[in-house]
Amino acid sequence: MAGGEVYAIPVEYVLEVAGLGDVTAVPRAPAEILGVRNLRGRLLPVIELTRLLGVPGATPARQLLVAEVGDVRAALAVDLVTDVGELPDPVEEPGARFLAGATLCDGDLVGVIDVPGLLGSLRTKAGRGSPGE
Amino acid sequence: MSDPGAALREVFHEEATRRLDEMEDALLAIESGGESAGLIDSLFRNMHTIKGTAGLVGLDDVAAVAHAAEEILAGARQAGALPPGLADPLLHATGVVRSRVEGQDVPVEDLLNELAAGLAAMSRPGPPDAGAQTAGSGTAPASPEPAPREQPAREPAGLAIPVQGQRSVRVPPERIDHLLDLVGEAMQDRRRIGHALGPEQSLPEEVSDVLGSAARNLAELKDAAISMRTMPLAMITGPLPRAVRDLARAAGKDISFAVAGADTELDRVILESLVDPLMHVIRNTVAHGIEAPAERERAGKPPGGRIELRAVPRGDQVEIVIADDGRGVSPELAQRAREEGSLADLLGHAGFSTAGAVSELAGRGFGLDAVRAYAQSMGGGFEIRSEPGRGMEVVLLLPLALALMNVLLFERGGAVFGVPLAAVAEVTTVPETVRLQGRASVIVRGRAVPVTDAATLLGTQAPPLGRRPPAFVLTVMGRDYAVTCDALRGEEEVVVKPLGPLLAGVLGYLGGAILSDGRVALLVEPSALAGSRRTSPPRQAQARSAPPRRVMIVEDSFTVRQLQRSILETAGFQVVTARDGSEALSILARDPEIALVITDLEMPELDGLGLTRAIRADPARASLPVVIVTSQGSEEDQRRGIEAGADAYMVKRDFSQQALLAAVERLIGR
Repeated sequence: MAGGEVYAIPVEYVLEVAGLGDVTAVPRAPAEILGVRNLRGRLLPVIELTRLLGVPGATPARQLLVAEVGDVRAALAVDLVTDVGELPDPVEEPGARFLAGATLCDGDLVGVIDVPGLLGSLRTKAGRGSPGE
Repeated sequence: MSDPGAALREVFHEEATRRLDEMEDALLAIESGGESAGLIDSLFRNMHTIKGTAGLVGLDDVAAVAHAAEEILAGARQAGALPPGLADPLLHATGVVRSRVEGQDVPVEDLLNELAAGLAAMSRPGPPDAGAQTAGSGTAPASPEPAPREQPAREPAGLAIPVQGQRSVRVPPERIDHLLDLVGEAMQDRRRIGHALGPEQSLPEEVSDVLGSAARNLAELKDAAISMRTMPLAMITGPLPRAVRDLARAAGKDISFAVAGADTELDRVILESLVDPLMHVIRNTVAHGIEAPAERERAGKPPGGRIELRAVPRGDQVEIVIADDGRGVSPELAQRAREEGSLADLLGHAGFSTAGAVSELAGRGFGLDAVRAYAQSMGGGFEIRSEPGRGMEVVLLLPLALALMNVLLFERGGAVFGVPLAAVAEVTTVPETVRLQGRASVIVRGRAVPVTDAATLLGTQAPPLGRRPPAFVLTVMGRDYAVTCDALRGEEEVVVKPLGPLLAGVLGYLGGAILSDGRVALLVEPSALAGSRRTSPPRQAQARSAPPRRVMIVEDSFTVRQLQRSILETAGFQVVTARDGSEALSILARDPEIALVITDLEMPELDGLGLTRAIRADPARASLPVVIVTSQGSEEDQRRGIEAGADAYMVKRDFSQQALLAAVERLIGR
């Protein structure tokens, strides 16, 4: 759940679920990045999922989904991880940012998050600054 | 400068040797099971670059071998793995290329056959291992001298070949980094235990003994791990005397070159990355710093000039000095530096040397901004000392080890930050500030030092500071800056951890560290905490009389970069260089004067297509002309280049001085 809505993330990208913990803000970072968190000796950027998905985030995030695509590892801040299970094949949801599709599960419309697209867009955003000034 | 041939072959030799070393390391790592897409990628890039540059300097046989090896690597890259049997022919190829680069006339026919067989085996269906095996045994008997062929070819890889009684092991650098990381973690764990147990006097003797011995052992372990990562400066200074001699001769000057402190140890990553900036400074010095013999004699100096490279350990850091006895900066510039801050500040600024007042130094400061940025990105410092008429010293202060750093920790707005201790001149409290030339200053030991709130510099939200805030004074490029904060937490040795690719574009951070209480501190580059200048830089106001057009060369091969640079500089263009697309983008962001970009296709980080697309996507630069120069000549490649938005596409093999200049002049004129 993110911002009270139900989303799904393909398990192949998920490394683990963790508590929100202490997030250290990084001044001048893109607004979607809440900060960095120490997870067993490694620094992970924490991404505000509701902001990226355009969900009005009413409830503050409590958990982190640690995802990895290629060399990018990041923690997605979510309300709560509710369930792990199989979903019916998602139907394409054209126009929705960062969604690979949507599907119905127990009467809820579940958006399936496009993890590579999401992390990729943040990376491009970061790259557009001028590193090494 | 019109025939850079000999000097070029020299730099090619140096560059090829470095790349061959890297490739052999990677091949051996793959052979011992450490296979990864990253290794294959770097192998491909290195081989590709050798192919392109060998063609440029006329070593056609080397280019042919590199081409055959590249084909295999391209296949491996696509498959995501190198069949184990193919590491051997590739090692054979690096051996032969090395011999040819060294000038030995080793035949290449057998090798080309072997590589072709390997490629054929690769594309055959079935287990790749078996295929490669057949290829190996198929060609070996056909060779007239099968057995001894391999040995001499591999010998130059040197360094880590087991010798009787003195055995050595090749270890991928990442493993040493990991070890160092763990040592740092263990040291912090020990400190945490110490904190948790309370004051040492109250502990049972047995416990404090164990704690003490753990601290000593860990410190020794840390030194041992660091020493595995360090190598003497001599590793990279070998080719320099010859390079200086050739450059000096080409410029009609007589220059001697000396190295002091060649046994000073530096982090190997730093050493490898130091070659380019070092050559840059030396080239500047030869071309513009040292006067012609006649001019020197008029000034009462010996006709021969002198350049010295010095390495001096300074605690946690190593000072690298490039000193010369040339003309130094002009008296006007020295005066301006006294008024406005420091020479490093003036000369280390992009495009400095175009300023009219210092036209006699044209080119002298040019590119020093890149050298400065390099030192800062390593968490180090940069300084320039010069006396008019007496010479100049360019000083790079580099950290001894990249992974561990002593930092000063401070708090602001509830967060903890760290700044390299090496840049901290002193800590103090700020009793009161004075206004000096319209900006807040504080008197430290009788000198006025500009003072700024850390929150302002970092761009973070924080409540106002207390009445007598603590402060620290940083020395950045020879100037002092005071920074105020909520509290100083003292110094700590921390493991520097990367913030990762998503935060790589946020400026001013060296990384992050996990403190002994588990909190995260962001480590800030000292330059990011240097407050704004007192006066606005006057150079904007200076009129420029028909400035030369500025062109940027983006190319990861040093040899090609120098070739293109000399062609364009000879034709009267000003040249800026970048080693890959992302560096190019950061230079473009700073330097609006760049009128044209010439880029290679295959580069680490951001490649030529990515760079072209990024330029086209930026509204401010969408119309900036881009020329792609590459060794990939297929129509498909050309189509991709043009589709990405390139204005011209040139293939290295039909590359000529005239063609390059014609393309550049067609796009931006003279």
